[in-house]
Amino acid sequence: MRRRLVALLGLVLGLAAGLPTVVGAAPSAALTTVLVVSPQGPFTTLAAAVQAAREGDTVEVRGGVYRGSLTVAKTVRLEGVGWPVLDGGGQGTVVTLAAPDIVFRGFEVRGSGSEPHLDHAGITVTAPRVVVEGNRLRDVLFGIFVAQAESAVIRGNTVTSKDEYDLGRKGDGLRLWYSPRVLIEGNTVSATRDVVIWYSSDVTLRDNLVQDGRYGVHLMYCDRVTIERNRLVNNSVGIYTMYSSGTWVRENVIRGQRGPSGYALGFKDADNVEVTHNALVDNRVGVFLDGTPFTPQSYSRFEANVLAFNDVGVILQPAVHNNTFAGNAFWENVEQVGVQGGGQLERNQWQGNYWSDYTGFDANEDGRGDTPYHAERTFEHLTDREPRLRALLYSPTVQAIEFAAAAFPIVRPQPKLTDATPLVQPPDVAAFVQPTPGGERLGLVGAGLVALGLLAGGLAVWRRTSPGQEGHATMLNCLPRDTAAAVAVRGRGITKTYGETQALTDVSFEVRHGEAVALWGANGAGKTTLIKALLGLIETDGVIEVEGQPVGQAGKAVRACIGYVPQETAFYDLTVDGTLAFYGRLKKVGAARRGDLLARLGLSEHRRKPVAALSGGLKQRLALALALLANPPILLLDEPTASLDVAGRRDYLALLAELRREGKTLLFASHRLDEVETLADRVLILDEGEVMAEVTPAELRRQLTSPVTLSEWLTPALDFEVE
Amino acid sequence: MRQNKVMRAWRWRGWVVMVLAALALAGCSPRQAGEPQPPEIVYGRDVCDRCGMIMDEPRFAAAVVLADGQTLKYDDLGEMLLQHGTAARETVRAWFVHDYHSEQWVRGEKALYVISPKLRTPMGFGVAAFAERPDAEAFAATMSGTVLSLEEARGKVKGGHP
Repeated sequence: MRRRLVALLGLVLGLAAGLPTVVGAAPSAALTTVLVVSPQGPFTTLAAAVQAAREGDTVEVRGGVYRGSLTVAKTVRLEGVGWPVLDGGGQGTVVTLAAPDIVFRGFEVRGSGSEPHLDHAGITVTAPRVVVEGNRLRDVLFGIFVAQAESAVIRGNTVTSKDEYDLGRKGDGLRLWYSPRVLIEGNTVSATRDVVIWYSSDVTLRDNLVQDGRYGVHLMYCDRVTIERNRLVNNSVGIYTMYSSGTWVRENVIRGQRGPSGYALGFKDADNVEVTHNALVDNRVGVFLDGTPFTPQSYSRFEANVLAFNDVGVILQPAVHNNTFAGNAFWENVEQVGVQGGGQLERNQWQGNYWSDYTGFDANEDGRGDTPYHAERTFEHLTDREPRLRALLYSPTVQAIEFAAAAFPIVRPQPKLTDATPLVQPPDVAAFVQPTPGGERLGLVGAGLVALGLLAGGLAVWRRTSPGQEGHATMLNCLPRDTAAAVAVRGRGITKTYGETQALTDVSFEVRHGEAVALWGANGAGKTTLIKALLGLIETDGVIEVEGQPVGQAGKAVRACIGYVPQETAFYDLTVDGTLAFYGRLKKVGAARRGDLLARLGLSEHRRKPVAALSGGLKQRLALALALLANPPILLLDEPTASLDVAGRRDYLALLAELRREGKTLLFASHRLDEVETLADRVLILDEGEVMAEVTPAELRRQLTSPVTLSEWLTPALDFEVE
Repeated sequence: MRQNKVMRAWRWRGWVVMVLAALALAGCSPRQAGEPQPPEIVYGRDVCDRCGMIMDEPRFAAAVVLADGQTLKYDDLGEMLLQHGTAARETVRAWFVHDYHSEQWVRGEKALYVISPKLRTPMGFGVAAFAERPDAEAFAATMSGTVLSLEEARGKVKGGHP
């Protein structure tokens, strides 16, 4: 009796822990059973074990090769241990999962039949909520075929087709047919025909690698499909979507689609398309649009994608309209945008894209070109009408045509498109083109994209920009790349030599956000040289980063983060108002902001005066106003009160102290103790180009006011009388 | 007199040259009046004129020659039947399909069509063509399909979900 109680207790505990309770035994009435299949038994065939299993049981298959097809028509878990092989022997479908909630995991499946119209596959799923996970399929015509089975999960499988067939004769690696709400995640599909999703809505494809096939993903009659973070490499076509509504394509890398059409992305008669943050690299065509969007009330948006090194970045059919291309990088495509058959694309929106062939300028450094981008190369118009003329690319003929068009503008064609606000830096794509462990690497092109992303530094900038906000572009350019980072300015080993003079030697320091740091030293100590280095105005050895951005590589962006006030500012012969208006236009800062600054800095009553008529203190205030125009987070000041009288210095320091309390980061050169004590949290003492010490203002005062002993020796011989 | 003879000789030669030139021009002109021919399709490279997909499967490839001489290729019989359905405006001068078994071109007007949801075709229309009725009927029996003429098939195939 006692032994029975102990056994019962063990049973209950085992169940509670979710552990298998019976191994290799016939199922009992109330338990989930694990039935073991191996060449040595207890079961030696899967069919026998499945037949013996009850709903909810687990069939664990330990190694071995099991020949023949298998149909599972009850809800069980099939777990492979040590890669057991299921070999169909070249006949029919190898495994058919025909009951709901089956889990099929850890098998090698091979040797299906070869009849395409009979759908001979490695695994066919015909029931809902089946999980097919972590299997290897090879030498099968179709890989995994989900046929009228909703809510399946196809995860982490590796699929290849039959080597002996051409691509068109192979089967599809993954095929969904009338199967909604399926998740396809983390699979690797190589050298199969297509990944086909037909008549299946609410499907998600995520983190898959599809390579060396025909159609990386082919959607037809599928609504609300999400395709994200996949890598499609060296297929004939990347993703081709037809007759579907609601296709969301984001953060995919699509490279080397060079089949007959060679589209990285193709959309035919599709509605409500959103394509964002994808890298489309080295394809024949980055994006192809035919009849998309299809219905008048729908939309199609392409935003923040990189289209790089393609033969043609985007091809549109002439009648295509109502597409929006915004914030994309068109990077060194042989032809950036083409119109199949020729024509203009003015019925589509082109806003704020980066064009690597843009030849305009950005005088105000707001990140947008000051002149529009026009796609108007004459030879492109010819190739749009007759694609075979692309054979002449890189030949003198093209140069002659372009030269003629430049010399005689009357023969220049109408622009295909105009982007009124082109970006001058490409968007940042580094976050999603980084190679993943175990994944396919992008190689040189990917590395180029990463570098491109690092150079850009501005995607976050653009994305967070809200139209109409004064000064927003420059200000947002200064957002730290890592908002959690505390450091605003970092220098490591900064060294600068002029001839034989060592101006800076291995200078290292950090300034945290909201901190005020003084550079203290006599004339010639290296303060001004260090400030020039921080502004990127001189080249140095070592590393300087401002808001996480390297000064050498991102000089423009860095300077946009800094408001600089020199010792003395050279002004144009303008009034105060005129001066602010001039610099305000360059920085796209409106009248309201300028008025606020004038009032705040006590310049309102002087606004109509010529700058030359201002006192030294007011000129320095005007210099501070210019530095603050775009509301930068960092102020860099070089001896800010050197030219001011006592009263002017006091007022000016009060202004700076107020800015510091508001959160500005201050870094200033000084040799005035009152200045340092009023503003600084820390002091870097420079001497002959080296940081000699880092102290607090109080410590600096102590060093400067250390006790001095004055001794006077009186000689009695002088016969003085001291009273 | 002699001058008249010379004139007649030249006139005769002129007619000969004109006739020869007309014959030569006729030989160079398109064979509008001749029998329409099916197109050469490079499988794996050519794309369907309706959907833009790569053509890979000869047994389902089809083509039409329009009245103006233009030839259109399709990767799926269903694409052709849909594009040139009973309500289509273009006049088709000749239809070409492949026999399912032999994969040889046959005239579409004479072929028989089997439509079955069980048949997997490149664009999912589930249509196959046969040169011989016994083949079509046998296939229809195995695939639970229906045997149709061209006109019947043109009216049967619809776009969207099959």
